[in-house]
Amino acid sequence: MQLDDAFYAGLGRELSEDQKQSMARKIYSQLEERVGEKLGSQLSAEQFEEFESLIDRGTDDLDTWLQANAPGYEQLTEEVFGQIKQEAAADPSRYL
Amino acid sequence: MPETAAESPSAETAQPLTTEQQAIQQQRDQWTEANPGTSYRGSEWLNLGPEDIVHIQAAAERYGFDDVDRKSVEATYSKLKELGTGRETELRAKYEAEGYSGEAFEKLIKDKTAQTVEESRIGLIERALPYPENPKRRDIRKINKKRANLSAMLTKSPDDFATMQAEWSLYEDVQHTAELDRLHGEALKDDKGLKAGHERARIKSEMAELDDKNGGVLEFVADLPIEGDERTAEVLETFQEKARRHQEDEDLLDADSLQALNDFKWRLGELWAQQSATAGSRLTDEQIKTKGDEAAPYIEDWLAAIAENGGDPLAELASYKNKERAFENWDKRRRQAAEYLAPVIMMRSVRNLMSRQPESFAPEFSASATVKAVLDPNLIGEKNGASALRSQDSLSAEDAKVYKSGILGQLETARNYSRHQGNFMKGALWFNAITVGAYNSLSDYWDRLSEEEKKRELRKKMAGKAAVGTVLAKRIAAKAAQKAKSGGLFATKPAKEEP
Repeated sequence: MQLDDAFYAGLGRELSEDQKQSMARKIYSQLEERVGEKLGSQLSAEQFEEFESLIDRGTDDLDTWLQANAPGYEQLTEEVFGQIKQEAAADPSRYL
Repeated sequence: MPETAAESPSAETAQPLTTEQQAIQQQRDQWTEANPGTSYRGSEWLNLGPEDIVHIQAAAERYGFDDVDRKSVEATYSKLKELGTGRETELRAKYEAEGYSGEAFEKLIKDKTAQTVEESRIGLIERALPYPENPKRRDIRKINKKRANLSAMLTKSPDDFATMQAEWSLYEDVQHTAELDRLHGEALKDDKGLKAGHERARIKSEMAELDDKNGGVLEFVADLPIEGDERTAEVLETFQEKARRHQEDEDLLDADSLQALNDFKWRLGELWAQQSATAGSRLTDEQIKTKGDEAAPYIEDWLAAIAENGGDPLAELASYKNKERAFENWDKRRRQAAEYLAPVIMMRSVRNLMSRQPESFAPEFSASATVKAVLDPNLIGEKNGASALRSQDSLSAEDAKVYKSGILGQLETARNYSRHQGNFMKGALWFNAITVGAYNSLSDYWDRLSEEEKKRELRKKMAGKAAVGTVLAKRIAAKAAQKAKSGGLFATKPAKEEP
């Protein structure tokens, strides 16, 4: 799950460092949004309340909670990331 | 009411004039006759009839126009003519009294606009910072101070606001250098080691307890120029005695009490005058009187509370001031540790919303976009997330830890918003709507969302941030661990496999 040099090289156009940074930000933002959208449809109101109370308690172990309540969330994140990378490769201007 | 300018009563294709319109036409002719060489432009340049004016006025009242000129009125008119009225009589009287000139019309709308924007601004601030139920005087003072600060920020001129943005931009650039991040981390560490948060909360709690005992006005009283000298003590004792008698008698203020009150006010004024003279400026008699009058009810509450709960006024005050100093010390430490968080968030949110043109909102406007605009306008998360996406190989386990704590910090921020989003987001959107785009319906849009919808959008945002942030932090930690051949950061689950 990384935007490495090979990814940028595969875009078929030369990008400046600023453009790369901008693209990475937009991809990251899009990733959060889409994963959030998918998890939002999976989790119940009760689960969200539990999630929020976890944050209120200042836990640093979100992983355990996510594994238990959104099994496969890592795979989901990877998949969505892969999709966004493909979209970006097909139409880089969309993420610039 | 005409559908377009071409169909307005004054256009060639208009229907026969009504009696009212004929009267207006007659006034127009009279105006032209009485003002040779000038042209009556009231409805000519817009082809508007009185009802149209009323509708525009209603729109101006509702949304406000910053700079009314012909073009903007024409453009806005077509979009806003559906809006309600309610002030026809008053408006028409004023409009007619000013001779139906175009200039008068412009002035009318400009004046009304300025008034409306001001009222809207006040409304925004009041909604963003409401008083609690049954507020005490100290609550009102605190909120008023916050309102004044917010108002000052929102009323900056475009130039000043641009300057502020530039300074902020510079601040942001500096803020994210590795060095400052490191200093920030150290400050947090010190903060934790000293238990600054705990100490701060403890003293605050003691202050609140003392304040309650003293009628909830000590914060105000502590700012008064009351010194622990003998004369002040005598004045307070006298007044306290009078207040006690007044309370026991359950009577209106008697002559003695009134005299004591006046004596006290005078003494307070003297102290203020001495203080201001030391500071190099003298108060006028009128200012002294005003200050004395303002302070008197607070002092009355304070002394009455002490009379009821027991205690020596000056000793109570000294104790409070000591605690206040201790609190300020701890608070300063706390602020150093949290330098980059709380004060930044609101400013950035408002700035971000204000810098956008309404057109850029309209095509893609959605609840999640709204949440995103307010929740994470500074792109801190995206910036750090983008770095994590780009350079996992070169990041260390410590970097993963910092990144992870950054995600948790943002989630806490999101939680904060989810508790208070109603006032803040609505206020921010509303302000944007009335100042940047008079005919944009952002505030209406937000109003239409149910509380459940708002909450759901915030929760989705949090879930996405938590999931992506956690996965990335795990990936970075796993790679660092692989390199260092040491354990990972996450006690609960080691990272699975490399992507």
